[in-house]
Amino acid sequence: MGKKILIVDDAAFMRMMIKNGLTQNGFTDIFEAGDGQQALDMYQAERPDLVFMDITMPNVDGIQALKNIKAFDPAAKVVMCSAMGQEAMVVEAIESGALDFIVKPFKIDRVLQTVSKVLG
Amino acid sequence: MSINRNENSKLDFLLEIGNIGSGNALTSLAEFIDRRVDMKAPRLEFVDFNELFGSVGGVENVVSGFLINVHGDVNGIMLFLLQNELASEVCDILLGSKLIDLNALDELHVSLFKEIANIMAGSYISALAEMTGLKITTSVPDLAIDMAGAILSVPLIHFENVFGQILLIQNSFSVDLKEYNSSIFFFLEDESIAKLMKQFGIE
Repeated sequence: MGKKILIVDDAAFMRMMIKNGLTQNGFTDIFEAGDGQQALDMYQAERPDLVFMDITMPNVDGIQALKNIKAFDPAAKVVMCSAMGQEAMVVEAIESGALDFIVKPFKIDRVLQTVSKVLG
Repeated sequence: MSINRNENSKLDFLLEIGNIGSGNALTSLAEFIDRRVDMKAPRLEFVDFNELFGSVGGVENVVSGFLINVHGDVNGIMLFLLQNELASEVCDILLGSKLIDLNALDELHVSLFKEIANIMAGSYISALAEMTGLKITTSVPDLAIDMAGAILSVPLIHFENVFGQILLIQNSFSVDLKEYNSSIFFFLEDESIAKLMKQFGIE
């Protein structure tokens, strides 16, 4: 399908789960990062079409990483994936430029719906 | 422990928080492993530091412990103790193989365990935040697999002088008809308890 997707989560299991779901649905250009700093580095190197971003991560958290990526590329498409689904957190993420917010736990269909909606 | 009558409203309030929070946490666990999880009514009580070790049954039982810092408008610590049998069952469900040797966890197992804690703590704290309108966040979980007594000693060493009361929530539940127990210790600063109560109009 030719679209690049970056998965950012400190949990290798979650990265694997999302990656498996995407590859089974035809996506092959998938990149991974384990924290917010790695996410920015990877974004700058690969310029992915879509980023799935966890919030609670070591070093640089997901909200800060979102802000850093949007500062680098205001057109970046970032979707947050977090167990912290409280309204204040969602509002902060959306105000910081996130396109959507997926609350963990989620089924892979929710991720695929978002990919379809964001990438068309 | 004895509770002053004047503290009854505080006790009821915090027990209700524990009740709703633990229900949300187990519901999230059920969604994460895509299995039916049947819950019994949780047992909630306040314990002090002297009672901690006696509250978990055998302190020599080897369990999985997750320590999570809670910060934002409310500051505290959550400690989850999960039976290793449950951890092994979750590995079987999500990774396709039961965990045999807890001393030989690879990165995938560790991340899976931490994600369980992250999701359960996140749903607990999110429920609390939604109820109060406060902004509350959690840290990345720290994982330890050790005797329950050893794991409990960690917050004791670091936080004995900071937290006076500890909310203990003990859950019994079944996954695919197998029975499991978990314990959640919620260490809350007095100032944070007061802030939570104020949000509910309890002074």
